[in-house]
Amino acid sequence: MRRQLPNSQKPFRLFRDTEQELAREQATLRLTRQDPQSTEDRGIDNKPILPAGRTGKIPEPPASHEPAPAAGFIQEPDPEVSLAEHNGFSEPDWPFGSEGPEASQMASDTPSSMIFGELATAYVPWQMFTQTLSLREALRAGTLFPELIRTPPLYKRPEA
Amino acid sequence: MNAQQKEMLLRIMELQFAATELNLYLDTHPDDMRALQEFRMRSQELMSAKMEYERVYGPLLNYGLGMTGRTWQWIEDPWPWEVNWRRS
Repeated sequence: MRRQLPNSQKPFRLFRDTEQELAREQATLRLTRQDPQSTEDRGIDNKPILPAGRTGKIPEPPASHEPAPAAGFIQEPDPEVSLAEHNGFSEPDWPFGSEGPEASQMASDTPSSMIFGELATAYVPWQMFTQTLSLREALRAGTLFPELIRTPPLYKRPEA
Repeated sequence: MNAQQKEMLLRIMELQFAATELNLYLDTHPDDMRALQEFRMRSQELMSAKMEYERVYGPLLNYGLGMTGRTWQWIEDPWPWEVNWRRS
């Protein structure tokens, strides 16, 4: 599964495939953290605080800083295309609302459950030792515990 | 394979299965004393049933894991797939 990071042309993998990919991500993250311009003058929402002039005209925001490629890594074109590029429209920055080093940091360090939220939670009732089947019935039923018998039977002897 | 031998083998299979089930239960419920007591009882019965079977009909396991009589009884029993477990 791949997901496009906001303002990043690199697809985001939930699980890293290779150690090389992990090293590349960490190197990129290190470069991004060391960049002073990307960490200053940032508001709570990680958006640059833009001074509004007296005329009310809001100046153009500075160009977003793209992290330099790590030394030693060959920038190879990624054959995969995001869904937004494929469909010809741009989707909103999801799940992040802004770009910046925090976005890269979250993508690299944060567990996926904190990024995507909990989609579902499985619950298995705790088994209690109450009673047991007779040994012959247990071997026939496939379990010693009557509460684990499933009806109708999942596996049935084929008709002869 | 006569009826008594088949019945003893079936008893061993039943006890082995019960011991396996209790083993799996105790893996997740190690403090359940009642299950532990039942496991001990079934284990004792299983060992007794195996020893009794091997004493009469020969080894259940090869490679030195079972009892060996005066002759090489390992090849005297029918193979597991040769036993008809269906009730006639």
